Amino acid sequence: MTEFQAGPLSLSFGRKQVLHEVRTEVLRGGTMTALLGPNGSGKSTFLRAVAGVIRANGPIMLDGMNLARMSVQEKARYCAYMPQLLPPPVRMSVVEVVLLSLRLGGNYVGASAAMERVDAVLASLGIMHLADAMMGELSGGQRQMIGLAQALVRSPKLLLLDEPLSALDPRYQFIVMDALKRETVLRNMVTLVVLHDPAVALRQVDSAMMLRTGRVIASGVVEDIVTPEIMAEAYGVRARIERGSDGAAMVSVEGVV
Amino acid sequence: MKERSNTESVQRALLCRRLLIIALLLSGLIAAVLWNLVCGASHLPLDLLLKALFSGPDDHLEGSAGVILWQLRLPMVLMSAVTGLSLGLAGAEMQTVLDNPLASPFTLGLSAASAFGASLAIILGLYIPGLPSEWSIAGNAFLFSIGSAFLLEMVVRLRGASAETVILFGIAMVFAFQAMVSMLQFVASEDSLQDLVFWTMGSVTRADWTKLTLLSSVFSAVMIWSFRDSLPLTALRFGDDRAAGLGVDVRRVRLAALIRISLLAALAVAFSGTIGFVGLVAPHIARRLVGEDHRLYLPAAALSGGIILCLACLAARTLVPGEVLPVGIMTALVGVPFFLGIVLRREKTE
Repeated sequence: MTEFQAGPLSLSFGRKQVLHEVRTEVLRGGTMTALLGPNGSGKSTFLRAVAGVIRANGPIMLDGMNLARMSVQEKARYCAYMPQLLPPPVRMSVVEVVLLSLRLGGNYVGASAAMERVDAVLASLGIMHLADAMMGELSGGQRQMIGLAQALVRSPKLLLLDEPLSALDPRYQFIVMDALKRETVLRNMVTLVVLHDPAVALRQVDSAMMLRTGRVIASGVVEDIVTPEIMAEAYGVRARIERGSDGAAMVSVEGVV
Repeated sequence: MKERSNTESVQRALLCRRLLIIALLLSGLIAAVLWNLVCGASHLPLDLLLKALFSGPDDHLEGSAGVILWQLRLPMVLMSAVTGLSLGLAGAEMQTVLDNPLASPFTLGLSAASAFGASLAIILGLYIPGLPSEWSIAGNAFLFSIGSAFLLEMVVRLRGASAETVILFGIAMVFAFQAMVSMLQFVASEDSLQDLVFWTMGSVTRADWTKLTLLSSVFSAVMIWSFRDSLPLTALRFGDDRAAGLGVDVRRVRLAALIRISLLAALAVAFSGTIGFVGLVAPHIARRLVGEDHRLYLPAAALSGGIILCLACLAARTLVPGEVLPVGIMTALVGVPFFLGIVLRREKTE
């Protein structure tokens, strides 16, 4: 069973401390965890630090290995990171883009086996029909799916996503989130995702961490985190949590505190 | 399973087409070189040319043909080919690492900085004893070009500058270094002034075998080095963060690329002066032809640069009979409209 725990991580930019001993619970394979918090709370920074894009002080433990001690190349074998910006419309075909990720991974297995893995990942995301398209011909949502394929094709144990839904319309928000949930379970990954919208977290993930000004103010099962009290403390809003007719939870914000 | 084999064959066909394009570019470059050798003040028929070519430089049986070919035309034409190759490769890497379609050694001031470094070496007579003077001039040009490359990179990194800011910063460097070159020209002696004017125009007429050997060896080494980095460079096209997430040591790759770019820009300028726009135009042609997988894109950009400069050289030698125009004037005439085209297209998409 995959086990992951990051932190306590601390980080300063100049004199300003942006992360104060931020730590995740022990997260298990097959679960999704949301990083929540208002703008500037440090949730993206924490994710970037876990990904190793920026260096922070503290351990990042995955199955007994300390990712913080690894080189960028070595780390990329276990952990895949998707930044917030969509993959740009580079002049390359979708298959080339996904293959690039495998080639860079260091555990490249030869052309034919690599093609097999690329095909498998495109098929599992339901985007096989885009395989031969050029990136420039795709919509933003489709490009986000290609970015996801780039991450998944390496079969990471740890998947880190920074606001994967922010540039997407409702249809692609659903498709991406659905694919994430399914692949997380199927591949037994630990998935850590920065989400802008607590309502999405409440419906889609297993556990959550709420950050404010670089500190964790609550973490645990998502239903215990997205509550009126914690929403008030973190975002400064009056919120109600309601159950829709299908039993799904909804967050409605009624005002500011 | 059917879908799978289909994708694989589509990919293979795509790769074959792109390799074919590179082969065509290579033949295009060879053809452009031969065309240059045939044309000139005295016409060399192709059969005579080939005979002189294969009989080697020391065989003067062919009379003046051998001398014209080996002493005059061949060094000049090969110099324009290798300079074009170098500028094309430098421009391609620069557009990738600065993530800017308007980047090239010329537009962002690396060429101007190299020209200043080279001028300084000539004026002050900074020669390393025991080495040919070309080496000291080229070395000094390199110091200034790598200095300006790192200044640019710092602006991009520390200020998180937009593409436009980087271009404006580059233009400011061009102005600054040009002013300093003018100042050197003002105080220079009659003799060195001749040499200095040459830098500002860009010309391959001073080519000789020493310079050619030096530039070709550096170009070959840099081409191999950048080819080894072609995968991480391709990943950089997806942005720094995504590249780092894919396991690319972004800082190392960028640093190596800046050193390579500075080497190529400095040597090209030290031997042929500032030749503009080749490094800007060639990468755009290469992207259209073979896409952005840098294993194909880098060679294609280099070859396109070589072809452009060879054709410009041909035009410079034949447009006005009996005169050899500076080739930099030719490339600017073609390059400026192209530059404007990119700027206007960017405005439209924003």
